[in-house]
Amino acid sequence: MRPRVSITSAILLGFVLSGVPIIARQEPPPQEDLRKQIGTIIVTPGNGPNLAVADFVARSAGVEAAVGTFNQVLWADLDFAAVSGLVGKSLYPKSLVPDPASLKFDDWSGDPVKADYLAFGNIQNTSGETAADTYLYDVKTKQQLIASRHSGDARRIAHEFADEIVKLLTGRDGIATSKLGFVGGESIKVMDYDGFNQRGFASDGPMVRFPQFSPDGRYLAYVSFKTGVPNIVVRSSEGGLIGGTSFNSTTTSPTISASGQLAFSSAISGDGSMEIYVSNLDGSNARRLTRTPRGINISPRWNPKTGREIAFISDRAGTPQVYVMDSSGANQRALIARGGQADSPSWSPDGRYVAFTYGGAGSFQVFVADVASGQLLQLTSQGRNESPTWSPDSRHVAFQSNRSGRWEIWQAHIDGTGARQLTRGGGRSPTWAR
Amino acid sequence: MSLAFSHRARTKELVMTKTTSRLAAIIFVSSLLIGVAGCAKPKVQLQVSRDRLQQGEDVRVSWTSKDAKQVTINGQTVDKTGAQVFTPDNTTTYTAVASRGKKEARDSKVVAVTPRPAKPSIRISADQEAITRGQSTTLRWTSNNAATVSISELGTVPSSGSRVVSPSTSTTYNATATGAGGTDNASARVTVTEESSPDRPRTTGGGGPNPTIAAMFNQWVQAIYFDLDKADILPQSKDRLRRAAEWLTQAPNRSIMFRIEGNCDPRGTEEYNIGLGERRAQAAREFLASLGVDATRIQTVSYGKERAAGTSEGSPESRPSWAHDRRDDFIYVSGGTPPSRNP
Repeated sequence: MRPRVSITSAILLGFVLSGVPIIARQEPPPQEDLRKQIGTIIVTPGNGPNLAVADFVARSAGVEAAVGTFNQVLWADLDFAAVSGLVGKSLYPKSLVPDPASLKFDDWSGDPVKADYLAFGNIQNTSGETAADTYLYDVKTKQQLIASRHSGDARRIAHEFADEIVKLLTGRDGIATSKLGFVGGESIKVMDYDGFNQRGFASDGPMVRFPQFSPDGRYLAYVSFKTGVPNIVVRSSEGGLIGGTSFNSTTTSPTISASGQLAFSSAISGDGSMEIYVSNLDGSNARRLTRTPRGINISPRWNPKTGREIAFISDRAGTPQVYVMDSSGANQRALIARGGQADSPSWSPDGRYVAFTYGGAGSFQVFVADVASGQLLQLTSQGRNESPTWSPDSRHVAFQSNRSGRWEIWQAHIDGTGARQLTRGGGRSPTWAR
Repeated sequence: MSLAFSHRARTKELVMTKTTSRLAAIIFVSSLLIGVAGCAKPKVQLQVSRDRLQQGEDVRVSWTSKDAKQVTINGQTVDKTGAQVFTPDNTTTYTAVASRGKKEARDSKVVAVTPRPAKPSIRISADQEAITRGQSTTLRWTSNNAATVSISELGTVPSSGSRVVSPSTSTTYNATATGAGGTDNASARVTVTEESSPDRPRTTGGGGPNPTIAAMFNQWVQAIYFDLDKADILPQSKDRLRRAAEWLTQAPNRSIMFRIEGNCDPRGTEEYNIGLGERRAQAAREFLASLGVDATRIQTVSYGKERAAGTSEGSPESRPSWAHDRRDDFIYVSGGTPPSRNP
């Protein structure tokens, strides 16, 4: 098995900016080190329980292709989930484990596998549908932890089983069944969290941009140039039109709160500026929150956890920096002010971190800031990387990168490791939904 | 022979040096005595790097003083020995005053400043900017501060005047005014169409009911360009917007509605650039409004960096370039009264 680069060494490679005061705050930040904090979030081999995943076994004819897909997807899901050390398949015993009756515990708990947990099962065709009997055992205590059945599309049932394992091992929901919205070509598209099953979501207008899912994934807001003037469109995740704005000046960067309010940036004030507004989800009853004549206030993002704060970008002090305000507009303050240019902030669903684009002079990278301490980690370093969005479990980030030669959607763990490319036909502005 | 001469010269020099140094020693000692007695008269010398310059150019003023308690240059206290750079607008006398008690010494130099020659300006227009083949129109131009004026297709012309032209194909007449203060350019395009196929101008209505007005709009209201990360209207853009405002506020054009589209070069981030592009559109709207163009006629839109094509800096005229990407486009939407056509 190929060990992943450990978090500590990746960070020592220079992913950390330290020693620079980065946050405008009155009290001194707590001294808990962000490196250590994040180090406990992503599990690497030797750093947590060991999980073995035996290949699933075909139990009826005609399911070979489905079994192949299932095994591949389950492995990739558990690898990217990074909640356990995955034991490499080359160390596994030769005998198949289609069901609990054929499980020899010592084969898995002893040398060389030394697993704590084993996932296994079989796949059969029942009345025209693919179904998997899925198991998870603690091979040291010989306890059955999961015995379940999933049926349907092979990719889908592998994702479901992966999430079941993650939930059992961590007590938290997995991300394998989550989805991402993004801009692909001239439409808003939605895909599975691993880049598969891309489908068009909306293409109303010559240009659609900046999609943002609501925290519960029930709504998707975006910008359409359909009338010639960019305005917000809000749809349900099934595609039904909820509403939007129809202003006479540029209106952009929608964000939806946990309680279903809309915020956006618009030039309607008459002060020659872009200001942040909040409104009902359908765009009605817009109220202005910022007031900086001839300034730019843009990229608002509602704190998905509390719903009480909005992060945004403002150039009120010169260059665009990350600010935070109460959702009433009160208490506007710089969250990260270190010169350069910042854009597209994104709160982690647990409210602990804000990821954002930062850089200047044509070179931009994704950074993660710990909101409480103000510490900062640089996530990316290859090519240009922008527009981060968080996985529902706050442990991964998707973003757009041009490292392959054009803008595509990529994702990585929040320590910057495990980067993988999700789109191949172009992609920008990802938004990760439950 | 030259050797012998130089040898003798050197001997003489040596003798001279001996005499001078002895003299210097005497002066030095006596000046010390005077200095101790406290009655040394201060000395000051002032020099200028040039004594005549053009408005906007620099002059370096340097001074040295001796036995001075205070030195001023034109009333301002300065170091006893030093230099300062000035950019005088008019002919200026620089006076250094070295004082010690009631004793003072002065030295002055005059720097003559010639005013910068005024920048030439030119305007050109065609009475009818869209004609059908075989028709003619009149080009009219006026210029200021120009020594020579030339127009493409016509050659050198008087500084102001008019000329009837009948181009067989659509033609852009580029007028150039050149003078001591630089050059200025302006152009007028005469669109020549076949009777049946009007040259479709750039409008949102796909040509709309008023292709002639749209073409005229495009002639008078032209793109302006911006500095990196800035939404300030540059001086040359102000000239362009003044010309646009003059036309837009003429009676037949007052019903024209139009759109300003702000754009950015591709180096910034997508989301913020939408804001920057909008600021550029707003800045142009504000400036036009200050010139009497009703702001409610103007819609503003930002395309951010969506249309950026540049990969390096360049001039606004060379596309693709970053400088060209940083611009406001002006798009005719509706309205206006078509000019009456003379057969």
